Amino acid sequence: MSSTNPNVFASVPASEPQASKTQAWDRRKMRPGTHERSREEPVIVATDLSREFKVRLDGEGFGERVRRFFRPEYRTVRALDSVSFSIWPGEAVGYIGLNGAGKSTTIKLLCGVLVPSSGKVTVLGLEPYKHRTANARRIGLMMGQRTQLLWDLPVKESFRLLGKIYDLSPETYKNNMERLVEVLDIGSLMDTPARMLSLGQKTRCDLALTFLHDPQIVYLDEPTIGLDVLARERIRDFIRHEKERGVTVFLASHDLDDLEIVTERIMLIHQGQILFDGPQKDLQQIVGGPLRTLEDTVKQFYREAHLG
Amino acid sequence: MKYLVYTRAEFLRGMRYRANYWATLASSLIMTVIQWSLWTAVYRHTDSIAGISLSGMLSYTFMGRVTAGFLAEPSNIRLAPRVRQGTIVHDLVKPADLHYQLLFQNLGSALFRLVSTGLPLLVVLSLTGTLIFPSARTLGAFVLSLLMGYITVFSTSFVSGVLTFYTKSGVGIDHLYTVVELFAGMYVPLQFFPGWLRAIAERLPFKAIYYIPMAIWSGMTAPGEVMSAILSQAIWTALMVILCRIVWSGAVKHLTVQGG
Repeated sequence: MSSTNPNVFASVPASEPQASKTQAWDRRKMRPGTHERSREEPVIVATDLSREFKVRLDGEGFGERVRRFFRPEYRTVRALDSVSFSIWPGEAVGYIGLNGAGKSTTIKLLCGVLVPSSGKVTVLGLEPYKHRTANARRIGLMMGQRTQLLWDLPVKESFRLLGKIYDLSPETYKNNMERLVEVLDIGSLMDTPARMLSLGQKTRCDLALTFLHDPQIVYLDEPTIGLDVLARERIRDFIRHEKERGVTVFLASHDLDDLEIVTERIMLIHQGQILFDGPQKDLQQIVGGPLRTLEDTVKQFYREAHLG
Repeated sequence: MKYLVYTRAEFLRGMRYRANYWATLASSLIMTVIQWSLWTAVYRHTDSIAGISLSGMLSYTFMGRVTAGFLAEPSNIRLAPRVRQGTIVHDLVKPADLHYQLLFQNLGSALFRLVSTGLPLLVVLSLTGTLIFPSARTLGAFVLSLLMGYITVFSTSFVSGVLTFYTKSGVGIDHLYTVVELFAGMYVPLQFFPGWLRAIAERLPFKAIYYIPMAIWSGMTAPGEVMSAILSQAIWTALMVILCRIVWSGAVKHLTVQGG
C-alpha cells in the first residue's frame, strides 16, 4: 500500500500540505465577512497529526499461518499521515474522502476515542484523549450508521437518559427539547419505541439527541446515509440552521450534495493526507472552471490527480 | 446519582417483554417444586446433613429461587460485540463511565426480575408456610448482603465480559460460569463440599454472590456471626469492584492506543 504521491498536483496549491493550508487560510481571512472570525481562536487545532494501526499478517499457505500464529508479524498502516488543520468557531467543514481514506480515524481522534501516534490535536483547548469526559460534554457525535436511541423504549426515554447523563438543568432540558422537537418535527414520535421508527424518523431523533446538550462542536459522520431525498433535505436544513446558531459543524459524508449545501469549506483527505483544504470554489478552480455540482468537481479532482 | 437513570430505563425495558415474563415465572415455580421434592427425599432418613436441617436447607434453596433473577448472570455486558459493531465509540463519547453505566443498567433488569418473578414466588411460598421469615435484624443484614451479592455477580461477569474483548469470543468464558455458580453455592451450600473444595471456595470471591446472603437468611450463619460474614463479603465486593476498575481502564487504554 504505497501512498500516492500527493505532489501529482504540482500546479495546485493544495498539493503541498504546508503551503496549501496557509494559502487557503490567508485567502479566507481576506474574504469579507470572515475578517472578524479570523481574530478568534480556532476551536480545533491539529498539528502533524498521525495515527498508525498495526495489522496482523495472515500469511500464505498453512505452514506460514501456523508460524505466524505463534509468532505474529505485523504491518503498519498509516491511517492518518501528518495532518494539520484548524477549524474556527461557527464554521461548517465538509470532510470528503473515499472509503478508508481516514475520515473515521480523524473523527475518533477529535473525540478522544483514539490516541494519536504522533502529532497533536486540541479541541477547545484540551487534548481530547486526555480529557475524554470533559471533551464529551462540549461535543456531539452522530454516526449515521449507529443509532444511540434506546431500542426497545419510547423515544422520550432516550432524551430523558441523555438529559440526566449530561446533567442538564430542568430548564435547559425543557428549552432544548422544545426547540429540537419543533425544528425536527419529532413531537409525535416521543411515545413510539425506537425500533418502530422509520430510518428517517430515527435519524431525526438521533440528531436531536446529538444536539440536546448544546454542544459547541458536532461531528456528523454520514448523517443522511440511506435517507430519501426529502428526508435528506430536512436534515441538511437542520444542520444549516444549527450552524447559524453558532455551532461548529464537522460533517463527513459521501453525499456531496450534503456538503455542497451545508458547508462552505471542504477538506479532502486521501490515504491519510489532506490534499485540499479551502472554500468550495477554490476546488472548482483547481479542476479548471466551475462544474455543475460539487460531486462533479470532486470526481474531476480525483481523475486529474489519478487517485481513483 | 445520575446513573440511576440507566436503572430506570432497564427496568422499563423489562416490562416490555410479557411472554418472557410468564415463561420465567412458570419455570421458577416448577423449579421450586422440583427442589422441594429433591431435598425432602434427601432428608427422608436423616434430620441433618453437614449440620443443616431440612427446614434450613429449604430456606436456603427457596430464597435462592426467589432471588434467582436478581442474582442472575447479567447479559449484554460483553465488550467484544460493542467493539465489533462500533457502538463503543458512543459509549466512550459520553460523560458517563461505561462500567458504572452497565452496573446500574443491569441493576434495573435485576430489580425487574426480582419484582416480577421473585415477589410472586415469595408470596406463594409465604402463604403455603414453606418460607419462614427471620428476625428484622437478620432481614436487614440479608438485604444488604443481597445487594453486595448483586455487585459481586455483576463484577465477575463484567471482568469476563471485558476479557471477551481480548479473546474476541465469549465461548470459553460461558463454560467457566458454571464453576462460578458451583463456588457461589448455587447448587448446594458450601458445607456440602469435601474439605479441600470448601477450602478453595472459602478463598474465592464467588461465595459473596450467593452463599453469604442465603446463609444469613436461612440461619446457617449464626446471629453472632452475621456481622463478620457481612464484613468479609464487603471486602470481597470491594476487591471485585477494584478489579473491574483495573481491567476496564486497561481495556480503555488498549482501545484508544491500539485502536480495538
